[in-house]
Amino acid sequence: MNDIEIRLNAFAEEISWPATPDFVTGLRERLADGERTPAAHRPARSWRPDLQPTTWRRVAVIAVVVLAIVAATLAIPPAREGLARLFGIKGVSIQRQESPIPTTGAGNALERGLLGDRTSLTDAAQATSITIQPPSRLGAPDEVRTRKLSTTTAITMVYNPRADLPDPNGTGVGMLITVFRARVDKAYFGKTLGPGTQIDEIQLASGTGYWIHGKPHVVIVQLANGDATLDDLRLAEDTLLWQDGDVTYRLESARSREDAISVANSMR
Amino acid sequence: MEGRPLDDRELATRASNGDVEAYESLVSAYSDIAFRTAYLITGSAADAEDAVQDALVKAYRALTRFRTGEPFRPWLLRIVANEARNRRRSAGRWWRRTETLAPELQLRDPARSPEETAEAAEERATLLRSLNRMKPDDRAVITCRYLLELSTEETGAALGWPTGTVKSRLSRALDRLRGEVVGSAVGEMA
Repeated sequence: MNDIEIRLNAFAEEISWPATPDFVTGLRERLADGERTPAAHRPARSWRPDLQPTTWRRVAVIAVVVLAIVAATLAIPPAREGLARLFGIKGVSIQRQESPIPTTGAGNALERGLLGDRTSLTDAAQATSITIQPPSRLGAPDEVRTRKLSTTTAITMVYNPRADLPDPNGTGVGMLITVFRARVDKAYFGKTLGPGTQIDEIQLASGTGYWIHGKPHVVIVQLANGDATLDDLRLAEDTLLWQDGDVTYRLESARSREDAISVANSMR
Repeated sequence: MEGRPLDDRELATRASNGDVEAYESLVSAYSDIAFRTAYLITGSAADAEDAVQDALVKAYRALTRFRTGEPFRPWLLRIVANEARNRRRSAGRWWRRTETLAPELQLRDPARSPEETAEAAEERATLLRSLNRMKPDDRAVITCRYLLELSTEETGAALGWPTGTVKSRLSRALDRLRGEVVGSAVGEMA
C-alpha cells in the first residue's frame, strides 16, 4: 500500500455522509406492498421535468403566468430592484430550487451535436441576424453550432480545453459561449439552482451581468408559446450571464469570475 | 433468534424461507453501505433512499435465487447499485448525465480539532480539495474502494464496471490524485 492509499484509508472516517434513513421500520409493510407499488414506477423525489407533452403544456402555461406576474410586479418600483436579481436579463429567468440538482455530464462529440449543427460564425450571423464578435481574449472558437429553439436560434461558440481554458471536471469543453435573441413574450430561460449556488450582480462594459457560481446547476429553456424544451447540454460550470442590446450571452467555463468578466468585456 | 448471533448466510437462508426478522437483521447490518453506495450513484439522498427501499423489496423477492454460501453483501449491493443506476438513467435522459454522479465529498468535522496540528489539518484539507477536483469516475472509484471500503468486486458491482476495469481505472485515478495532492502542496508553498 503506498502513501496515498494509506492517507485515503485514514480519511474514510473523516467523510460526512447524509444520514442513513431507517430502512427497517416499515420494511414488512413495504415487502407486503411491493407488488402493488412497483418500485421503478414511483416518481423520483428530486425535481425532474417530465417529457410528456401534456406536462410541458402545463409548464408552458405556468411560465406564461409567471411572466405575467413578473411583468406586473416590475411596474412597482420597490419590487423592481429585488426581482431584477432573479429576472434581471431579458429572456432569462433564474429559479431557485430547494433540493440539490445533479448536473450534466461531459461535452463530448456526441453531446456537442445537441448544441446543434456545426456552422461558421458568418453563416450563423446570416441565419440569425446576430453579429457575433468572438472574444479577443480567446480568438476564434474551435466550433460554432446553431440550433432552433422554437422561434429563436441559439448560437454556441465552443472552445476546446487548452492551457488557458482548463477542464478540471472532465467536460471535454474549455468554454461555451451561447448567444441568443430572447423575447420575454415568447420565451424565458430558467436556470434551476440548487442550494449552495449563488448569484452575484456584476458590472460589465455592456452593462449589468450576473455571475452564477457555487454548486453545479442545470439550464432549462422553457418557451411560453405552447412549446417547451430543455437546454440540456451545459458544462454546469460557473456561468456569466449578460445582455448587450437585445442579445443575451451566456458564458460557461471553469475560469474565475475575473477571467470570465475579462473574456466578456473582450467581446465588444 | 436466541443464542449466538447468526451469520449472513444463515440469515439469508432464513430470510429466503420467509423469515422477515432475519431479513430485517441483514437490512440493519447493511443499511449504511447500501445507502451510501446509492448516494454515490444518484448524488441525491432522496433518490438514494428510494433506490435502496426499492432494492430491498426486490432483493427480498430474489432471495429464493440467492445461492447458499454466496456472500450476501456484494449480492445486495449489486441490486442496490442497479436500482440506483436505473433511477439515475431515467433522470439522465434529460441532461445527459453520467451514470455516476460521485457528489463532492465533505468532511464530518471541517474544523481543526484541538489535538490536530496545523500541518495535519492542511493535509486533510488538501486531500479533500484534490478529491473534489477529480473527474466523477475517478472520484467514484476511489470513494468506493477507500472511503466506502468496498472490495474490488463490490466496486465493480456499484459502478457497473468489470473487475479488470475497476483495477485499471483505480490505478490511474490514484496516480492522478497523487499528482493533484503534490501539485496542491507545491502550489501552496509557492
